[in-house]
Amino acid sequence: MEKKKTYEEAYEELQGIVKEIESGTISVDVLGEKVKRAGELIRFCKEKLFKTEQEVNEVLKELDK
Amino acid sequence: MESDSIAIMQKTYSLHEIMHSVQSVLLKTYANRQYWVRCELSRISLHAQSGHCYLELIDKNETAIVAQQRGIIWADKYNSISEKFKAITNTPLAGGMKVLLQCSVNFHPVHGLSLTVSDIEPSFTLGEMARMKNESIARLKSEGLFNVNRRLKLSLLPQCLALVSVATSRGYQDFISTIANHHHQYSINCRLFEAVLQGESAVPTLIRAINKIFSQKEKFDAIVIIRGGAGDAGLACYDEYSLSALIARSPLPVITGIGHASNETVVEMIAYKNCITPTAAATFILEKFDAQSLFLTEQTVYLKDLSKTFFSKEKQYLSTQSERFCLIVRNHTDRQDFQIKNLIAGLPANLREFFSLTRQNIKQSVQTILNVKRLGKQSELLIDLNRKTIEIKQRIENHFILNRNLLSEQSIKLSTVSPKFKRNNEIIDHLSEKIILLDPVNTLMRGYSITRLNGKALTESSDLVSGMLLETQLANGIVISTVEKKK
Repeated sequence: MEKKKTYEEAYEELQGIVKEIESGTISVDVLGEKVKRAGELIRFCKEKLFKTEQEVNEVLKELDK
Repeated sequence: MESDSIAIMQKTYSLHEIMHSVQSVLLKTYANRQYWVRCELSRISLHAQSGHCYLELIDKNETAIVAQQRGIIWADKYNSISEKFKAITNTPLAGGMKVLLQCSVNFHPVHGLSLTVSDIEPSFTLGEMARMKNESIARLKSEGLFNVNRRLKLSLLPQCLALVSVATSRGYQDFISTIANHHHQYSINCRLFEAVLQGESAVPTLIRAINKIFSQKEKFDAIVIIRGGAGDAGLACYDEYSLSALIARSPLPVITGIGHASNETVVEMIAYKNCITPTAAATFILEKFDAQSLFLTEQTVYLKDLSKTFFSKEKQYLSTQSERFCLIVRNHTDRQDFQIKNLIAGLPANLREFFSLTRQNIKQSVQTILNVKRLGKQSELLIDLNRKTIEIKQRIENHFILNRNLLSEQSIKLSTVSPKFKRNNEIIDHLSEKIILLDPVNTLMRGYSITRLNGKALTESSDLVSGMLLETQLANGIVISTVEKKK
């Protein structure tokens, strides 16, 4: 996953993949690739969505100061 | 000195005398009279010790201040006037307001001219505020700014928020705690830009804070103006044109959470999203995250389903194809086998046995291959087998060519022993038996004879005349006789 990708870009790409799979025009070999990519995108988006434990800890540290 | 002498010669007055004179002239016109005066309250300051309230009153036209005068509300009047004003307008007396004041004109030789305020008409201010609000709306609309902020696109995940608020305010605390206490720990980063949120200093500090955000706009997804716990007072600033226009032009979507129960202010009308309270504003942001969280969960499930359907369809297709393939292969191999079988039939016995065995092996291999489940593997094996089959056919054919004569001989031999031929022999045997039975020799043996005239067997006497020679054949020997008489 490229570092600079935004949530929005990942979201768009994910939507695109789902549409492509829905259309039923892709081959089995490509499907494997696409599903793998979709999995990566979902994981990336979830990471963006939720505070990582590290982030939370940093905020708590800030409050202790 | 001449000038000095002139001054001495003229009548002179003390300052007190001249001021006293002014006072007496003014008193003649203004003493004990009350006037209702329309003006703008440009400054108001309450003297803490005395309780007197000092005012700076101005009158403006479009371009300049056309009148300016000090005013005073004595301590004994101040409470009743300010309470009355607040009760009706919902906001305390503050700078910038248009007011209608009941005043008397006073002149004091030491303190100069002043207007002493004895009463106020709050409905005038209300009307002025409404007029100002309507003017702001009309101007924003005519300048095409009214819907500009609302047309911006809020990012799917508004993660970086520029908050305009006061750190110690209830509203700010409500906003922060709503996000912090949400059951999901979303990655939302807030940065506070402090500003006064009501009353006379609101407009300049809000404008300053918002401009500061604009200067680093790429860091943020949205601006959230948060105010709460201060009642409905001092909201006129949010109807002010300059602030409204700045917010309308904001490159970032502006979300408002200016907690109050009164009518929507202009800022709220033009904001990307107006939430009733700071808590509602926080909930609005959280809902965006909730929606994405749900979307991602749904997509995960959907993708799983989609892949499952895809693969089951693919399997179905493959199994149909596999059946078709098996059929084609069987047809093809059967044809090949038939040809090989025919070729083998033409071989000499010793070779026939060897090739029959090979043929059996090929047939078995085909069956084994067709039982293989993987189509790819199947076709690999089949291609290999086909190659072998052709090779064998070739070998048989080569052999056949080399031994053509021998083979043809053999094939004749083979055909004589073929069951069909055997059956033909049987029929022939049977027929010859029948033929033997029909031979006239056998009849003659039983005493019958054959009489011939000129070599032809006689069957009737009508053609005979006396004297003709007849020949009679017996089982053994021939007798010659002459015709004497017919009966």
